[in-house]
Amino acid sequence: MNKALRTLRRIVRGVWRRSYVSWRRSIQVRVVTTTLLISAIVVVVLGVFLMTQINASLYEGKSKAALQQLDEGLNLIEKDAPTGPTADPTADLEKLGKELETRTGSSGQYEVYLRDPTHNLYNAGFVTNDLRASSVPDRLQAELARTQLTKTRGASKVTVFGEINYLNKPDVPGLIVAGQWGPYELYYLFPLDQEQNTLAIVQRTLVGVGAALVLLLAAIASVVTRQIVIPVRLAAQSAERLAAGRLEERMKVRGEDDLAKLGRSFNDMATTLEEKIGELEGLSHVQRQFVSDVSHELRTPLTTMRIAADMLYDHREDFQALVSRSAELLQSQMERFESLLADLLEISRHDAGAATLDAESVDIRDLVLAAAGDVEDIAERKGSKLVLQLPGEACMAEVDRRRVARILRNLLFNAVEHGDGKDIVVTVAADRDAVALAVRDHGVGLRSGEAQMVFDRFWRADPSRARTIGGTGLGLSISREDAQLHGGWLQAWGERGVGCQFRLSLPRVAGTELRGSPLPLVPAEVELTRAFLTDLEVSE
Amino acid sequence: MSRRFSASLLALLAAGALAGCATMPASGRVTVRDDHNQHEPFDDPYLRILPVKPQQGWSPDEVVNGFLTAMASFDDDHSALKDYLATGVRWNPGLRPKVTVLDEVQVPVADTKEGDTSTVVQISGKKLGMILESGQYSAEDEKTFSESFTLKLVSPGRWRIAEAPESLLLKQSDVERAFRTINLYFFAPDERVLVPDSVFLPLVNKSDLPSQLVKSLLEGATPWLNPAVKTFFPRGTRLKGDRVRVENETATVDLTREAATGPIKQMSAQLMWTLKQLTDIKQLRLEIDGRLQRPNDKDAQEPGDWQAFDPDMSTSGTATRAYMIDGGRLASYNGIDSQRVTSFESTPLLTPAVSLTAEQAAGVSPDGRQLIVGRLDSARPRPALTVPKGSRLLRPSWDRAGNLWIVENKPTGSALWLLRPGQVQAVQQEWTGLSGYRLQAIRVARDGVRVAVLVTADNKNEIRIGRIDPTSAVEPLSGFRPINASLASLTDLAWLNADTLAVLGSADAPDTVAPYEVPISGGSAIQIGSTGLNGLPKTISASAPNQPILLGLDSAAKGPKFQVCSQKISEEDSRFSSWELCKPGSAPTYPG
Repeated sequence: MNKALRTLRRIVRGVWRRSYVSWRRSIQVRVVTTTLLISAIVVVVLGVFLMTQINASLYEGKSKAALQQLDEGLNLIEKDAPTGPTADPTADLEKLGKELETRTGSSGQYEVYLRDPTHNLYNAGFVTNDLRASSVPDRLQAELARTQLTKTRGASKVTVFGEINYLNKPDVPGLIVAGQWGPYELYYLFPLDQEQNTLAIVQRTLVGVGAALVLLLAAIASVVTRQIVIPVRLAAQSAERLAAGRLEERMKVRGEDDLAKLGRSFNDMATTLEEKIGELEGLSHVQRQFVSDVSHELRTPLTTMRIAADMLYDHREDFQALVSRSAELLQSQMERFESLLADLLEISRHDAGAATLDAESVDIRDLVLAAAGDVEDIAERKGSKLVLQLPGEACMAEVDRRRVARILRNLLFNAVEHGDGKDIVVTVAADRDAVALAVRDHGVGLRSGEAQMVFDRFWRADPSRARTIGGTGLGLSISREDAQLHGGWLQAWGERGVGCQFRLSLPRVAGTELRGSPLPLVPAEVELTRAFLTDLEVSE
Repeated sequence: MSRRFSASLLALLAAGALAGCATMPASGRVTVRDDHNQHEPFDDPYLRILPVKPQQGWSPDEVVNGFLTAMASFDDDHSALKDYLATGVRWNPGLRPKVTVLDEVQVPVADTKEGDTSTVVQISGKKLGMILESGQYSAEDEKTFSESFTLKLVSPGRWRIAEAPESLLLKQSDVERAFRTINLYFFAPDERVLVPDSVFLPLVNKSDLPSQLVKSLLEGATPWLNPAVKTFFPRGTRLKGDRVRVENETATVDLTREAATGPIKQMSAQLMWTLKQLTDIKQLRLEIDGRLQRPNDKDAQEPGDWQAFDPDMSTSGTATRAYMIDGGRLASYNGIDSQRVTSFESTPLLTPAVSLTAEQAAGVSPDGRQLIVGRLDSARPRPALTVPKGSRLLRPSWDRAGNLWIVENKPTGSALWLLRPGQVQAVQQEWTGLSGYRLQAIRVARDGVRVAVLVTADNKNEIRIGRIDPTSAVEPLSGFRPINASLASLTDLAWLNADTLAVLGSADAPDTVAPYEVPISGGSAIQIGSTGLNGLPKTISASAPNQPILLGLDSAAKGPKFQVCSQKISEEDSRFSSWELCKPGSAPTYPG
């Protein structure tokens, strides 16, 4: 029972949600529904108004006819009724009744009840056909008697609506008119079942026509909106395609109406956009080419300079102290220049799309251990300790060994540089589809919004801070390009005073899409503390 | 096309349509409605009297007066009577009550003394007749009638009837108001035509009428007609469910399984003819024990299916050509010209009668003593009967079987003769019922079962209807009963149709004899045609249906003394037809 109710509720809610969604999404649905509603209201109001009008005119006509009939009957009584006392008042009454009856005809349009309570003690009058005397309500008789008393001359007439009873027919609603002339009380009873039938037919017709009209209007609205909506939808599709980068997308333009104008404007816009983007692309290509060329061109003199610098450096002990220091400086800056140039070349390769993936199956743990070995010395110098949290089994993935090692190196150097001498935790995890490694430091951390900026080229958290280990400012950018080349993610998290965490997630099979990462971006202990604090606030 | 334009076009169209709807047609084609509905007695509106309950403090005679009024009310199964009866007295006259028809009822003022607990009120009046349970009306000639009502004082100021009367006591006006005559149809003994049996039925309510009719039909003919007719419903057949269902002008009659042994066609014919008198019944479905019978391979039978059994024999090929006496000789008459019949060229006749097949003719010789019979096409006519001096023969009458019925008026009373087909001489018949009276006319109805005669009794002539009883070999004509016709100076009669006679008589002044329609059930007579007959009608002849009535006239104007006038048929009502085409001649006659 409960279950069924719940199912029902779910179905209702589903239908409601679906209709709400289509109401929100489709102009056509909205227009058609509104048209339906408004036209239904108009039709109902009109129908009610019409029905009351028809009702009123029908009943008015009937009342008029009834009173005329009554007048005729009363005239007949006035003409034919005996003026003085007679021997057989019953016969007199019956004679009058017969005359009135012959006027009714066999059509059954109305029934007559005639009585003379003053002279006919032993009967209650005469009725036509199957009429029952109970059809005449007491209040009508009382009213008739009252008006007769207050009236000095002429006949008084009373009208009432009531039920007409028959001997062996069902009751029907009717109009009853009564009049009195002398001792004679005359009642005419008009059954209104014909009128009721007419009204029922009219009502049925009205309802049918109204429903048809409302549906027709809705259909018209639907057709009309379709004419508007379809081009609008096509335009939306074109815009979507354009937004997706297909700049050659154009709308079909037909005719000269408002929609054609829209299409033409859209097409103009698309053309302009295509031109501008093409221009920009060309520009950026030239720029990249320039950077690449510059890097290449710098390489050859740099090599010569390097040989010279090395030679100077090798013989530094032969020089004066000042010159020797300069040779050392030259050597180190030469190295820095070289690596900067290498990085620039690398990144220009990425920009040019010339970077290729040389994938092979590698155990990520080996890479981590190798990178950790490289960084250990510098870390010790900085006072940081590297803590490795590696899984017990191998974390195999198809990756470019060189690139991943570079990413690792970059991350570790970065962590050491910003780690403030605190522990650096490297975590590796894997699931069915992906492997992930996170590098966590406990340094100053990042301000909000900086987590994205860390990957920008030559970005610095604090411009005033000096580079101690000598990164080029391109390491994280290259790392991110490398990760993306694998189809993986490189993301950063950081909080002021808590530290940073960089997470690299890579698919196990090169080229497959990454759906999720085996490791959280925000370190687990931070998440826990946060939840604990929230709980505390709530309990307070 | 702009939307505004189409909207205004639509509005224009709608306005045009509305304007078209709102007008009544003010011109158009003439439409003709073919409506051959017969007007039946039950179609007319009717009047009902409303009884009152006995009032506190009514004297015994007032209670009796109220009781008499209450008896005239058939509403709700005579429920009004209950209030007048003392507790313990039960009386329900039922739907087919026995009725005593009274005229001028006097209710004397009862003299009750203080302390009386019972009293007798004796009412008196003239008794006009009785309506039996079968619906048959038997006129009784204005005998004085009295009935005593015993009343009991059931509580102070409340007198009630202590003993229920044997029959309903109704005034003639009550009967006219509450009863209608209607025909039940039975077969003539030869099973070739139906014979109507007029019965009185109370107008209890219209919707129950079909059931009433069928039940009455199953009960059989009235005692008067019963010996002369046949019914095909097996003994014990009843109406199943006690009701005839009427839907869409189709009556469904479901009979009990006793009917299974009866012939379906004849039973259907009897039912159809009886029920078709009700205007709202156009078709009949006959079921026996719930199973539909299909006598004509049709589910619903129509009146036309059984037209062959028409009591007026309108379809059975009877001759409708009229004959008359022109210059003392038999002549055929087509409404405009007369042509002498060659075989009767040398035989002078006074009053002719032609057989229904128009093969034979009979007539009375000018001296009134000889009956002459002959074939119309060949051979010399020959006398078939000669009566002694002092007697006169009336115009003979042929029946459907070819029998010729002849009445001889003797100086004292009358005698009946019968000439059967193939016989040469007429044979005298036993004739007890009317042998003491002199007759003025005898006519056999076309169904061959009923006979109408004009009888002079006690210096007053009246119409009597008798039956031809084939089972009684000794006395073939019997059961003569008078019918109420408030006509005097009756001269001649003819069968207009199965239940109406055309009679020559006068309603008020004895010297203005005119033709009247007289229903044999005893209703009031209606004059046929407007006045303007230039002379005294002597003979009348009629043939059903739609043939003009012919009158033999003693002309008062210049020109030939004897004239034959024919009726100009008016569609509406015989009252509005006129008489025209008067030609010299006498004793016009249709076959029969």
